[in-house]
Amino acid sequence: MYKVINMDTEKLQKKYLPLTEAAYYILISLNKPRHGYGIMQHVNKITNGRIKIGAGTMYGNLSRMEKEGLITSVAEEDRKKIYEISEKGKIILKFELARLEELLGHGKSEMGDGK
Amino acid sequence: MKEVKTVWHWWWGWNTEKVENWLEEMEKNGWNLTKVDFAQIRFSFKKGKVRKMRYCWDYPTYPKDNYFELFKEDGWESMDNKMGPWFIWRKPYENERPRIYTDTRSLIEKNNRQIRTVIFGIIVTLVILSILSIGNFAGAKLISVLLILSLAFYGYIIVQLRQNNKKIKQDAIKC
Repeated sequence: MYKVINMDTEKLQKKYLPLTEAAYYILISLNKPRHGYGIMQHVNKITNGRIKIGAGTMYGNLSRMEKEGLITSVAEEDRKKIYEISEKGKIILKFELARLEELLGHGKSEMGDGK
Repeated sequence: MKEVKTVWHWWWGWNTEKVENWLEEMEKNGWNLTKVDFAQIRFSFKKGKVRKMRYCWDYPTYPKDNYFELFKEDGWESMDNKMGPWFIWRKPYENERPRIYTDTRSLIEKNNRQIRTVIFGIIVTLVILSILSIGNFAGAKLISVLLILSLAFYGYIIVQLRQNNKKIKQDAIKC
């Protein structure tokens, strides 16, 4: 955790941003502890089925994010690993939200706010 | 009497789609896969129902328990002995054809895991070759030649996987 604070903001952004849609949705879903399949269902639900994360993509993302310290495994039950977003993950997500907001803001101001 | 058949079918790690589609086609014609063995190139079928069945080849490195649990929960059935390094999964479907990889990045990472395995093979081969070059016993020359040939083969695999990565990047599926 201390390493995160010492790490340059710019370096973190360069390394992790932009997140893929799958990574983004996995990270926000892990604001609550969930296991892989639980994340898949949650993302499917909140996006009305637009985003379906495949099992291979899910496993790969979870393994990589755990290794990178963006998420941590908090428990293991019935051969399922339960994950939660870490402090570092929250920092990355904050950067990403700011980036997306900027994108959205530019789009709206250039194209006109109304429909 | 039940109609059965066994088919040998070779496949390459950079193009598993081909064998996946072939099995799907067999199922469409009522040939239900019952067993995969002999280093995953011998396929046994039984004549039965016409099915819409998706097959997927996966290459994770040292998957943990939660890997198998995740696939099982998502409705995939394992069609091998779960020893790896390749894992064969299948899932019946109606309309939308299921996939295990839904983004470009994961597909590229799958190929990169294969590349890492092949590089490991190359290093091992080079170590054996250097040992053989010091040793002086009958057959050392022959083995060396075979190993050097295998190096060319490894190189070929890496080139194919990298080309496949390039192709994936070009037709980038979004997720």
